[in-house]
Amino acid sequence: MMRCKTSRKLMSDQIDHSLKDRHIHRLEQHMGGCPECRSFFDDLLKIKAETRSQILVEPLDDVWARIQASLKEKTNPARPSVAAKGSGWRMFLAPMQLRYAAGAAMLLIVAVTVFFLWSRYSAHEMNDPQRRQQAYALSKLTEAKQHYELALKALDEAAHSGEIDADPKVVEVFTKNLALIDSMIQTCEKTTREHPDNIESRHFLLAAYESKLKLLVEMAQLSAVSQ
Amino acid sequence: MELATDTLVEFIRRSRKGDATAMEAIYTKFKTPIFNLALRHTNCTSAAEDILHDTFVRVLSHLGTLEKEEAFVGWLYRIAINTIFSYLRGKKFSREKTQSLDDLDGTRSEPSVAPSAQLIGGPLEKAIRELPAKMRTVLLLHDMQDFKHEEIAHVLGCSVGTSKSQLFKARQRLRTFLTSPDESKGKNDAV
Repeated sequence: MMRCKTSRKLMSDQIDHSLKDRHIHRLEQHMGGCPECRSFFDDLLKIKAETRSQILVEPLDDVWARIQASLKEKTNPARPSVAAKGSGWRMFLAPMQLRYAAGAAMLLIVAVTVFFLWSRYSAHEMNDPQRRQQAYALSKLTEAKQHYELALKALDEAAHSGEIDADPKVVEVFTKNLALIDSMIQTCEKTTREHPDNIESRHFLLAAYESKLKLLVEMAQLSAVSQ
Repeated sequence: MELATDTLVEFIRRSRKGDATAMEAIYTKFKTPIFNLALRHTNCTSAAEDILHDTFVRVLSHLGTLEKEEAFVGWLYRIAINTIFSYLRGKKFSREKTQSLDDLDGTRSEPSVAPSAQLIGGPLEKAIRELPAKMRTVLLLHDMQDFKHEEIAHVLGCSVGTSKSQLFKARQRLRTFLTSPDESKGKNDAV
């Protein structure tokens, strides 16, 4: 005769219809003579039936939208601000065109310094060494202008090499500012051609170049990050 | 629980290529069982939704690491259960480390229960909540979601024998709880 402890161990399998035939008969025999085990077995049957009939609750519809948003965020991580992108070591990780921009900016500093010295001395009567310095300043200015133009060309390509996946309002502001600066550059270049000795027009031209350089660096960074 | 049909395998392949419709189809197929598994463990709708969210974000963003599409369901449930246990561990930790203001003046109010959690508020559901977490998982997977012991063993990383014995113990505890409710209280959430 099977003991109660053994019969109860077999009950779970019997409820799930996975008990071997040779045990089924022995279990039935035991329960036939043991009302407590029969009651225990009936309770387990009820519990299983009740558990199976528990309602399944539906989640809210917005969960999928949240999942989609999180997946999109994982694919396109939040873009750092333009100011943060332009700082320090990030420049060395940026595309090659951005390094041209960094080089051009260094040249600009040299050019502006020389230009400043030249304009300062030109206000006074110059001696020979000062004249030599003026000639040097003019040659450096011309060189700076050439480098400037090359850098602007490279940056222009970098800024427009990929579709900028940014807020359309940001892109619109960039485009408007660029058009304004280009217009200013054209005016300054025209004045410089007509009055080559006009220091002020050269000064304005370099300032306009500097503004365009800064704007293109920002556009190129935005373009590089969005790719 | 149906493991992997051809359609599911196709959806998984398409999802790997970034097909949003296929991803949604996978979510639609499994959202209810995963949500209910989480809800029965947390008894909190928003926590269960967070678990559902985290599970699917993990699953859908790591589909590329799944070697065999046929193993998807087991993998999905393993991630879901890990997420649930993680939540329960965090909850237990925060319960041990913090004290509510209600406890300070000796009156402890019942936590607010969202409408969907109220739907599962019968005596059996209460008894299920009193089970230790792993025992509860075996019971829910087997009796509510039709998993076989082999599948449960795969998902939980245990033997078939362990799954069987955990199920028997769970049913036994439910019987004890339902016949004399005071005896089994206070033993839940032991992960």
